[in-house]
Amino acid sequence: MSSPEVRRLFPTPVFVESWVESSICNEPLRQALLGERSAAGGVSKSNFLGWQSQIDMLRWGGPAARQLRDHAVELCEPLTFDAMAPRPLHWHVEMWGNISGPGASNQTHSHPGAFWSVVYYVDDGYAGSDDRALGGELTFVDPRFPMVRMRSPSLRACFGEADRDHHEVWVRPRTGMIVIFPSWLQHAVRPYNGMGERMSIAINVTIHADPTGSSE
Amino acid sequence: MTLHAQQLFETPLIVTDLDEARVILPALLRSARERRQQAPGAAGRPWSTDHRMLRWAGEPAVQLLHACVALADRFTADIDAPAGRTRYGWSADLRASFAGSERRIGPASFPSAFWSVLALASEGSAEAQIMIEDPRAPMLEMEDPGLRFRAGPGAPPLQSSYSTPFKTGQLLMFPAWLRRHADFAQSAPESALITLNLTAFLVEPPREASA
Repeated sequence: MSSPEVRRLFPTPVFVESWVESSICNEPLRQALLGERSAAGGVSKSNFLGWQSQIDMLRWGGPAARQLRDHAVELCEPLTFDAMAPRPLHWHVEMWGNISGPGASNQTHSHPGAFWSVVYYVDDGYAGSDDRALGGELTFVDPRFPMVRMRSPSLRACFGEADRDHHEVWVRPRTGMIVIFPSWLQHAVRPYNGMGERMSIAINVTIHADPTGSSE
Repeated sequence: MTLHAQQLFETPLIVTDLDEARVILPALLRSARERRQQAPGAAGRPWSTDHRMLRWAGEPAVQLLHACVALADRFTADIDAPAGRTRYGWSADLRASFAGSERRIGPASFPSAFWSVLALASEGSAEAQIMIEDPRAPMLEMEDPGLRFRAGPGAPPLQSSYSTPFKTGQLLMFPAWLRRHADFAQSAPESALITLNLTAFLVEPPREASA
């Protein structure tokens, strides 16, 4: 038998970047988040114990929030292909803030109705520690789950000792990190076990094609 | 800016060549044709043998089984097993299918099995086109049917199906729950699509992995 070729089909794309403007923007973003938490009540959605703002952060987040919005769209545009081009596409952004204290987490959820979802970490809450016990990882769930495990839950497709089929992937946040993923991808945040406060900003990017063909 | 791309939750398709294909595959084609002569069915309709071909197709079917089990063992891990030992064995079913006048077999999936392995049985060389459906479809296109995700900035758009040519002598192995069909050219000589499904079952005590 010849050496088998492994083709990996139908990937779910996730992107990670360190935002170069984080050193400039993080402090005003932090102040905006703290100010809004003091001034307005939060919402109760996937957040458990943590504070989550309304989706209107672009109204109260100041220039740094608008800069983050522009950068998120700048990142998402080349990751998007329009099979019906040319047609005008309207990019719409919803943005909200999250502050998570000790024990806070987010239940598994997704963002149907949007195309790309983005998370930006103003402060990972780890205070420079690499201790994995601090938790707070962003987790992604295989969109094929539990179908891939129904018959033989212990069996995995395996391509090498460290290359096995996983149905959940964890990302440990870093201050200044941007994570981009399809909005239908189910995700969660494991409990944050630090003593500080995790601050993050979530963005949903919605893309609308104008049926009139107008670019306005 | 440096954007790091990660491709998650991919579905594997494993492609390899079958040893002794020139002996095994024509023999399987002859066996399947003999079965069809006994109960040919409606003219122009697709036709399949029963799934017990391993019982009646002789040594060539057993040789194919051994090749498929070796391939499955190589690409399967039992994550709850004692080190180096798997607790699972395989049971297998085997069938041959002929396309009807539409020159298509399927779509089909086999949710009770773990792996499906395809081979193309023919006299001489033949070719088909295998189309595999994205298990996430149509969710990916629900926000806007025209919009596609890319795997990187400016990369080709990700597609919701995968199509590949498939030749006599090749084996294709993929998760059995994956929906697929095979298309044959109108002018192509008749060939049979051989499907071998491997279902995992617990064996006690744990056995050594055979690959």
